[in-house]
Amino acid sequence: MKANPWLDERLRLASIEITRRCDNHCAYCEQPKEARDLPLTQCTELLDELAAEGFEAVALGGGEPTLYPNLISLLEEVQRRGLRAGLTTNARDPNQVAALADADLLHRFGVSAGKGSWQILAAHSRATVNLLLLRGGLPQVMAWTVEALRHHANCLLLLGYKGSSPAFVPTADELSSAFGLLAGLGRSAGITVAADDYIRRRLGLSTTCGQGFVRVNLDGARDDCCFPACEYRDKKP
Amino acid sequence: MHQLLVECSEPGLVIHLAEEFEHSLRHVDFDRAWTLRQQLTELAQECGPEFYQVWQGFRLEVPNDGGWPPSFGKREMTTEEIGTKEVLQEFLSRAEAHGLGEFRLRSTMLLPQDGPAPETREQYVRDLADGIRMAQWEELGLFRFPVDLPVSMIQHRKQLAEEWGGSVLHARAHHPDVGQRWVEESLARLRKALEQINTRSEAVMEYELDRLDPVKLDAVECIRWAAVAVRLGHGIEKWFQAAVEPLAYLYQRAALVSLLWTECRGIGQARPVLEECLEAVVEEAEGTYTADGVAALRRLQGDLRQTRWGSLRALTVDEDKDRDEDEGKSVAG
Repeated sequence: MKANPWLDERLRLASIEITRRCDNHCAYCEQPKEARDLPLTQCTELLDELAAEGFEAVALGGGEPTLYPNLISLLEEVQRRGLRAGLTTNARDPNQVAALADADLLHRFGVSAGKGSWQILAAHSRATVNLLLLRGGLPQVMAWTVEALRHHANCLLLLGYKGSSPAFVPTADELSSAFGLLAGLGRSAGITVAADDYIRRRLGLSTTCGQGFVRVNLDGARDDCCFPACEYRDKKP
Repeated sequence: MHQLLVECSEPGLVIHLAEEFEHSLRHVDFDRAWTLRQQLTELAQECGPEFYQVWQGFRLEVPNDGGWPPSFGKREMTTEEIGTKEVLQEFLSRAEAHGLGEFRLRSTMLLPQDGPAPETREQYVRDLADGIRMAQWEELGLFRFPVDLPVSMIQHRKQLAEEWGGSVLHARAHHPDVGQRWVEESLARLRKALEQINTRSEAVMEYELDRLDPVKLDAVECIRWAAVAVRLGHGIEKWFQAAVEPLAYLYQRAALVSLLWTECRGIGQARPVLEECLEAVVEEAEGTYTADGVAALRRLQGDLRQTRWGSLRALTVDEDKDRDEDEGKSVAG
């Protein structure tokens, strides 16, 4: 089986760790947390490199991107280079994120269900509600889904846990149920439902992942895999 | 735009109807489908009474990548009888803004749609088989029956028609005959012209089937050329492989077989190639699809063989045998 030819509209997307600051304490999170940021000058150099390499979009993250001290300046630099910007937030400062999107500095943003004031952002036209599935977490994901629909969310994204702790890894059955339920609900409500490549590989729907994607950490190291412990790391075509 | 620019650990991609169906074939057997259906109904109830009412009777088809206009089954009934106009309006707006695809395969998830949901495993398998057979890849603008000719061949035959047919009609317009005699004579001449057009265009098609490199064509054109190949019985393996190659999912190979089978009426030189492919698909599916998914492929296989063309197999085999024997005799003679 090949990569889905209908999903070939892949953005060349770089995920950049711009900060390690985070004001959430998620039990499953393995990202290092410290008061350290990627300086704006290094960011702009990196943006120049990425634009020259043909990247079309950047996703800003690492820790909580809204805690990055120069976020507006950084987004302006992104825009100046003709790149699209996205980020994922824990919605502790929903007004800031909404304002950035309304100012056209964010092409899209993800808001993690269950965190901060996520419901406030759910209905924003540029928002995607991220639904993270952990082992045993299917009821929670579906409860978030119902809440998101009640709050008029337009777009849902199902994500599988990516980390080294087996206790959090959802079973294939859980992934399959979440996939089927969300697709069914989404279609009946006329909203967009998406899933990540990792889930597709786990469900046997794709034999490739992460095409056009690169992750850049705070030290400038690049990786075309989305997390270190991924079982598909050495099975890329 | 299928890719969502949101997740900092990995891109998210919109779930497509084709992969949702592949997911059903791989993971959702009849029992699971019932469970999911129940769960979905409960979730719809949780979402609120308006949502549930809409869920019960509303069939939403949203605009898709093929650029088809949205159509909304049961819209009037739902609006008038259930009184959920506001909810519908919101859904219509959402559908316009975030359309993803159609719902034709939704019944395979046992969701109430146009007809009653399947209540037995047999009905579920039937639905899956129909889903495979009727696969309409609107994303590729394909699976309209009959499949269009390749663009270049449409142009070529149009040119021939203008040259040959046009001159005949033009000449007949000047002819002094009138009435039925004029009609009959004109038809006879036009028929000869059409035969010329057909002979010449077939020759060009065969030449192009040999000459063209499928690698240089897009997926849609490859399927169009494969349809030409099975109709003409020329270059079948080359173009069948070219058409199969871009397909991501197993069931799509079966759908392609079904399409081409219909194009060639299940007879001629294409038959063994299509039979072999479908058998290979079923064997491969035994390791990846649910038992119901495999049964659906078997059902499709049976459907094809039971068509009025499918039953002609023996006849064509006998004809081939007779021809071989004749050729053998003439060589020996």
